[in-house]
Amino acid sequence: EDDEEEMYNVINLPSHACAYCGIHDPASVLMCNTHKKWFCNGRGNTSGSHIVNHLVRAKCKEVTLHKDGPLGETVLECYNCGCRNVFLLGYIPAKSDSVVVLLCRQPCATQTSLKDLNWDQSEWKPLIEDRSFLSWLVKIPSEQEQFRARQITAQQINKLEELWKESPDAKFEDLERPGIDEEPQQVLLRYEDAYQYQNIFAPLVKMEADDDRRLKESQTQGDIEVRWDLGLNKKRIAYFCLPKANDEMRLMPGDELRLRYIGDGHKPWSGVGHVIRVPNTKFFDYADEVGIELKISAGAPIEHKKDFIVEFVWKSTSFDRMQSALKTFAIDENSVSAYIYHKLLGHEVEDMVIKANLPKRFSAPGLPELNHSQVFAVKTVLQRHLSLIQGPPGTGKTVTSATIVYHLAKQNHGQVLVCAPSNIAVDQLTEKIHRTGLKVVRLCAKSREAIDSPVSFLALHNQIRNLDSEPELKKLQQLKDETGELSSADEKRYRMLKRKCENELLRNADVICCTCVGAGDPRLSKFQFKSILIDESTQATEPECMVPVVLGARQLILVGDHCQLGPVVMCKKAARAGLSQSLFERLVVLGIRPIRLQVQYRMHPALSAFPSNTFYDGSLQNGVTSKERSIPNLDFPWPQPETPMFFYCSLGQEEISSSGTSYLNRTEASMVEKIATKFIKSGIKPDQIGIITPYEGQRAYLVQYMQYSGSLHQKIYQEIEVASVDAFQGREKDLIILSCVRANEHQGIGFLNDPRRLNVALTRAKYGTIVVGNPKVLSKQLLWHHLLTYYKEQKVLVEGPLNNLKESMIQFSKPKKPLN
Amino acid sequence: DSKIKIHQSKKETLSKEDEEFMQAFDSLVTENIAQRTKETNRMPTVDISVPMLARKVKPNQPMELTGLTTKRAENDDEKESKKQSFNFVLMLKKGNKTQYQNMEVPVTSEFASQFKAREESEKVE
Ligand SMILES: [Zn+2]
Ligand SMILES: [Zn+2]
Ligand SMILES: [Zn+2]
Repeated sequence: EDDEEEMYNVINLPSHACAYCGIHDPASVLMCNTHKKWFCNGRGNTSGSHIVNHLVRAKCKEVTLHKDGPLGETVLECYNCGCRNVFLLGYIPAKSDSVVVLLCRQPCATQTSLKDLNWDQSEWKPLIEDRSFLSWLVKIPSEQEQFRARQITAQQINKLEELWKESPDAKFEDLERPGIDEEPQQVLLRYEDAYQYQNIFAPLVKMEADDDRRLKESQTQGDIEVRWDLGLNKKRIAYFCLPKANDEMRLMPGDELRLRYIGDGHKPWSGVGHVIRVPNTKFFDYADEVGIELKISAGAPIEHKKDFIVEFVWKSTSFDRMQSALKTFAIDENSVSAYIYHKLLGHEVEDMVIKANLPKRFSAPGLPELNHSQVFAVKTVLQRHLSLIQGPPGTGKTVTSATIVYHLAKQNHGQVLVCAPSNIAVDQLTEKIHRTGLKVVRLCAKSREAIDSPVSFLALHNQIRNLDSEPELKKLQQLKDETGELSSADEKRYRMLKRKCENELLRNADVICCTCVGAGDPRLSKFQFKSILIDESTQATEPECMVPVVLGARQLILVGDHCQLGPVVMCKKAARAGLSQSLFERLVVLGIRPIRLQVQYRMHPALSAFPSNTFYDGSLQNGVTSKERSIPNLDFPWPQPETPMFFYCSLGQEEISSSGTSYLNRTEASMVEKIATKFIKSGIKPDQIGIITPYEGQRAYLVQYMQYSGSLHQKIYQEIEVASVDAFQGREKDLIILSCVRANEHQGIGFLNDPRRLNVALTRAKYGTIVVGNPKVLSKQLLWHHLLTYYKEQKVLVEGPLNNLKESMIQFSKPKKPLN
Repeated sequence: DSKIKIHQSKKETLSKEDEEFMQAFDSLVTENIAQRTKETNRMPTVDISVPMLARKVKPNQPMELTGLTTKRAENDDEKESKKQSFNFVLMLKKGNKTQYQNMEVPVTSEFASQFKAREESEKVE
């Protein structure tokens, strides 16, 4: 009976009832303008009011007050500029009258024209305080009301928000619907057969695809101002700023965007284009712009600059290729050799050696001489059907891979396929292989043909252009470039010739290089590769890795480092189910021992000691000396001159900023700025310095802080790269400043308690690393406790002003829980 | 209206989702501010004058709040001291129209207490 009554109540809630808890006092609720759902201003059991919870989780910004509330139906907006972003809105009181006005914090609340008037600008306060709306604006439901309402937890809120992405009309009750909460099947260590393998991975790939599609398609952005340009190939290029391009869209060159004109000055128009440029983390002119090359240039409203919107065109290609690889693996017995088939599935197989004609010299022409562990790796790999090479930071992974490819190609088992998950990695490897004198073709996705790279001349589409053996194709190409299009007969002929030549070039290559997903290109569908090498394979998901593997693998080499960051999986459910584990990692767990490259050539020996001991069983040797990794005449106050590193204790409490949020502590930002400034003053170029900081929010803050508060010219700070650990993976800088910022008592240290991420952060610098953080907080993590203890032992745990650093005597906290 | 007192166990440790939410909130705000700084260089500046209408309402007489308090939970602490509020005018835009809205701010709020403090200091002077 009680249940029935509850049902009754639920059904009868007014439409403006809080979608989380049901509270429906018009004075206490706000509507999200995007989702047209109502939420109350009470926090229930969570750390923010329900409306703020929703706005943050669903990434919404605009709200409306209820018509029956004290203010009537009102969209909250800035009195001056109409900005509706509630995270930027606040109010300022008049100096002597009892009046307040709603203004955005920037620029309206800071405008100088207000200064002389009656407004007290210094009193600007945000509308959202302590993560709920000000109570005088939107009433906070009484405690009694809140107790009486549905007791929704943060976890349930999360689930509900997730559910709304799929079915926007879902209700709280739907959370209990069977199936909704079902987690997908976990990945296994061993599989019965490739059908089971496909059955487990296919749903995960689909989930990731769905998530990706939802994310991308929700990214329509209005108010776009376009800067028109004409490419060398006569194609129209549109440049514009996308406010959310970097963090949320994860825009990549080659992605497709649709630009739509919505003004009245031209007939309705929309055009699709490939992204040829993404915003850069460095700041030079127009660096924030995205560039797209329109597929069809004709008819674009180039006389207009304003009134455009941008939509993301989602493509399922890469996911389709993974699915198809899983299927091929299951049904096509020629997709891989029997040995590799069973090995990949985790079956016990007797080891087999390849009777290879081992070369007399292991180093390849055009490439640096190999060291012992590299020679060992090459030699071993050539005799095995399946090998893993682990390349810790700076150990010459790419040279080793290129050398292996050289020998594989010379053994005449046919063409070698070389892949990596990222285009950058593929390009680097392509360049090295080219140096050995092998015939290399770099196969690019069609959508990326306009993007320049150091190995552009090796790209198939460029080799075709420079082909002299087919004059007719050349002529047609010229015509197409000049006029932009061909007659349909010519176009047909052009395509036919092009396909023929592409095929010839590919057939004649010793080595074909492409991304993992690129290996699913239809132009390779008729190809079989006995030897396949996948670099950075620890950054690919397993299905991604399978795309090249199923092209005939008889000898498979996976290169990577499972002690550095793994693949990025956006869908949390899929990640939890194990999609974020790479094939390399699973094979390691299965007992295949990776061949480890052991000599590092990047870091000053003092910098490599801790990572070596902590992440690589102390096996890392130094191929560079302290002398080679010292910057002569550098006037910098290293606490120990022989040890170019230190931990700089920041003890300043996080401040509550005027936005009402506690984000970055100023102390730490200023410490980072001072270090950077000191380096530059002593002759270091800004692009030699990298600053690693955990979250996007802090990154933006630091960039701003240095520019506005740094003592040197603004332009100088703009050339310092400030980015997340993930953005620095695979790269190096001369000097690294690692700012741990976000760490506070309540929130732990988030990103930096992942050992793999810490490893990457600590192994980027060649000449020096400085960590800035709060030891009290950080030492609660066992791994950080180790690191801090190490710094202390080295007498490089310091505090005080930069020109007078003193050893810190701070007591560490007791580490909480052991590492998993 | 029967008064009941509810004993609820205090919130235990923060859940993972809650922590994530707080982090997301912080970075959202920071990002929005950073973004805003980048995009706003030209903005029409309008002089915002304090409306005459508002000047008539004098804030210095705290008034008894009736409507609001009865609806509110009668917490012991709350009952004790804070039955008072200030009246002030909120200026906002509805579409293109300026709107002046009378609002009651309980003296407990930061805004009101600051206002009060300022008034008092002015009196002293
Ligand atoms: Zn919303
Ligand atoms: Zn609620
Ligand atoms: Zn404004």
